[in-house]
Amino acid sequence: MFPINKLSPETCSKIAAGEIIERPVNVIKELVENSLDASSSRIRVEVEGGGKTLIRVEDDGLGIPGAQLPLAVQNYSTSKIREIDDIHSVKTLGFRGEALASIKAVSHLTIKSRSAQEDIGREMRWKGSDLTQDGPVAKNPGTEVLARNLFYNLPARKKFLSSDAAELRRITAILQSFALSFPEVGFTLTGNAKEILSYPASSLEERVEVVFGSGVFTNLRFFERLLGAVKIYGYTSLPGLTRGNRSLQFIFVNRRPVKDKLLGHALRQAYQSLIPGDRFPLGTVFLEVPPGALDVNVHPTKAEVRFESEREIHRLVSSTIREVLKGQGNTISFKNKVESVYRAIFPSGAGLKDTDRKEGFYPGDSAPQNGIPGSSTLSESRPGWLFQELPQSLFEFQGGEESAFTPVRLYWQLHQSYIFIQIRGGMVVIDQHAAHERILYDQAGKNLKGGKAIIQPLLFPATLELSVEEYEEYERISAHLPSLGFEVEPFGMRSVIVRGIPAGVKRWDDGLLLQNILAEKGIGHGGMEDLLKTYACHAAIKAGDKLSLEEMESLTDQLFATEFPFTCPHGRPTMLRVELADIERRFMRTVTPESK
Amino acid sequence: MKVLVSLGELNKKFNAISSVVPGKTTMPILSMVLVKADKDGIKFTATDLDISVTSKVNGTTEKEGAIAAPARKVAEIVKSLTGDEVSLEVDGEKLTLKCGKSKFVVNGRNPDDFPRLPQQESKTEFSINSGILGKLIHKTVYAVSNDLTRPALCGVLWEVDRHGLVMVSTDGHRLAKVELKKDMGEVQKMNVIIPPKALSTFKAYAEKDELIRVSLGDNSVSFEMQDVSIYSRLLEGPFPNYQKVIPAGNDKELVISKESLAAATKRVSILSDALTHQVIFSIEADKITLHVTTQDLGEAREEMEASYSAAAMDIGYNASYIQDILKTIDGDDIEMRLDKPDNAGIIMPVEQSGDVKHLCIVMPLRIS
Repeated sequence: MFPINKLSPETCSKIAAGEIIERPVNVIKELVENSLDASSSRIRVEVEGGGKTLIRVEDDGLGIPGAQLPLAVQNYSTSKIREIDDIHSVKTLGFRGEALASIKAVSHLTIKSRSAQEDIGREMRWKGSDLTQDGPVAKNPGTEVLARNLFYNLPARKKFLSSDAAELRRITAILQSFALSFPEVGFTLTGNAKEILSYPASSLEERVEVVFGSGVFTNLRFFERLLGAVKIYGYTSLPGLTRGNRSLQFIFVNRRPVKDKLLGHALRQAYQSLIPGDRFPLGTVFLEVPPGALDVNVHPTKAEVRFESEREIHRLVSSTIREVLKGQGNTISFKNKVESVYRAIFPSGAGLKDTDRKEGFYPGDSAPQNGIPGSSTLSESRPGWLFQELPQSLFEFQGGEESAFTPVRLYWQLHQSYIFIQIRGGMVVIDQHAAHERILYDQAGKNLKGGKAIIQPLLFPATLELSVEEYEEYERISAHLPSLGFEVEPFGMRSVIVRGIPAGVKRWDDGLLLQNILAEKGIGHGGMEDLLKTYACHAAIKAGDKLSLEEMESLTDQLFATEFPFTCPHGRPTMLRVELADIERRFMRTVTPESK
Repeated sequence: MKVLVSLGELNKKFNAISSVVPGKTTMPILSMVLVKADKDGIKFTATDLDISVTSKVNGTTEKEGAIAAPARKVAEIVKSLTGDEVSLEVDGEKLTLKCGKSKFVVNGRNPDDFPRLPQQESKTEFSINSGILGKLIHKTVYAVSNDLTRPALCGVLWEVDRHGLVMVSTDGHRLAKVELKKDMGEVQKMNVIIPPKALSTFKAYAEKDELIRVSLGDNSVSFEMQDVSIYSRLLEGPFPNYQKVIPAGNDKELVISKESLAAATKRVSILSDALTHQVIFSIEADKITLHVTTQDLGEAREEMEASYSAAAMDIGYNASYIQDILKTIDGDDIEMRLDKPDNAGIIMPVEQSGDVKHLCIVMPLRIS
């Protein structure tokens, strides 16, 4: 042990810097935030060696007057706030006054800057704490910051950096995030002299399209809502378009990117029962709240925020997005084309792990599955068959055709599991179990929320003998059973007598239905949502059940009458759409000049 | 084997027998029809292992023999032929059909491969008019259950004794019962459960009124007609105690025209819920109003005259159950015997025809 020493200012600054600067992407975040706070309209970022060798951020913003330049690199010096109370009304991205000082502490820093009022700029260059150059420089208005040899003096930290490519991906991601939040600013990113991103200043809609790629963009929906002083808007993906992680979820609070648990949860809630539990929607959420209602000074990187009225914000976010998913409040029109990007939607199961996709996938890049070995079957290589949006004219055969009054609707059941329906321009394949689950889930959900369940009493009441666990489950949920349509009474010694079942249920199976529901562990704990899902799953027709033409027709009609026809309550798709054009392409019938 | 059969006879008999051949089977031999000529005449046999049908064919036997012939192809050939008479000749496992200037040689299989259902030991037998039996079947077979977890409900219960025959079917929501009072002769009292396929096959063949012979064994039933014999396995019981659920205290009587009730039910149910088919019957003095209100669909309503004098009430029924029942009841008017709206109701003809007593029970739908 050493005796207690006051640390040298240099050591202090390294420790402090370590909190903010962990890897190259943090340098870029700080510098770009400064550029944005300086009202820049164009920001160029250049990196070499994944940012380890060189980082350059250049803007055309306000610039720093030459006389103030030395101050800018000192700890806790900033132009953004003056006293602590200003933090609560801060409108700029940065305010802590640590960025440049921290970068200076861990790299060879150069700053060139010229303010609009001056005719000439000033350049300062450091090696560690040593000022190696200071003098005038010819420069356009704006600031250019260079950080070379990051962590040259912290070899241990340097060792923990990832490969150049991985660091570059992080940098790309953060620039995309800034680009979404500041569409009016142009961004370019070059890595090892190659252009990676180039976003001209544009509207939010155009920026979202270019960042996500047009294939994804057609499946995003705009939403917007104002509640008092709080405004929420953004784009969110249709339930069919999901990813195995949150990397394509961009959430901003007052234009500041955040990874906030509260908002992430609200987003999940909005997709409840629409997407599988291990999938995440894509999109971007912008929340604007009065600065006073927010605490951003929770964490040095400001990735977390605290809201004054968390519950209201949560409700606002999840209900707004839920609404738009229902097809209401849709403000942009959709091209009904199925894009190759859908390939990323469903894991093929053939060696495609989430990590695989996380690695070579950039938004807008449509190639995640192309190189997967063994993806040769129809379903794997063409997940573009996912049914996304029901075109208006799908089941309507109007418009002067002879068949106007005799709709050509052909139903056919494959392996007693899937319903094939001919539609205009292709076909729809419906998973009969998933479809029926959705119907029952919706209906039972309505009944539970105060609607009336219709009970079909039994001529011969069924007595079920339950196991200890089943009986406990029964006692837990017995209050909810009548609203599902079950009429059940205890019958002594862990037995129950069933006098009525939900009308229309096909798979009563002499009590097996209820017994299966009760055998599912923990439904009583998981609340109504779990009970609904369990009921829908067990009561639904199964794969292997033969359906008559009328039954197929009725099932389809009922499915489209539900609120969310495209997924089952567990979030799996209920239907796929196969385009005639796809089939033609597979048969190489696509007309090319040579084949004519 | 060589036989001569008129084209008309061949067409009719082969077509009929082909309907027994299962559409999909893992045993190729089941897609064949056994064609056999012996001293008793010419016979076609088809089976799906649950039921087996043998049909006598009128024709001339020149040489006895047998073959298993592919049902679909032979039926197709026979249907396409023109001429008066067809000769069927067997050489090994090939069947040659000749008619006029057409000749077909069809590959068949060894007749010994054709499955034979175990010969039943009949425990009791009775004779009955096929038309009457067909009617009784019509009044019951629709109500069987298709819930395979309760196989007994998937068939029609027959109770036979010296004084008559009772048939009962139920799927747990509705029940149909017919009772034929008739001297059955020396019959041993028996209860059997007959699968609906055997009954509908019988109905398909019983086109003319004739006296047929029904034999009941422990595990099988057979219907012997003049030209056709049908043999079927039975379903295992026990059948539930149906007498317990036939309500005795239903004292509110309503009489209404069968046709108008059936037509109104059909109309009003167009807007009923696709899952439950619920239609509300609002009954008051000398009037019945059928109505539905379905969210997202709309509402429908129809009023009818009826003879009724008890307390007014609303009862919900599954419209398709009511329609099924009305299709099977004889006569112009039906009688409904009701109790409380939650309890089982009885529907029956106002005038029971002759020695047949017909009665249906239907459970109403209830709102939680």
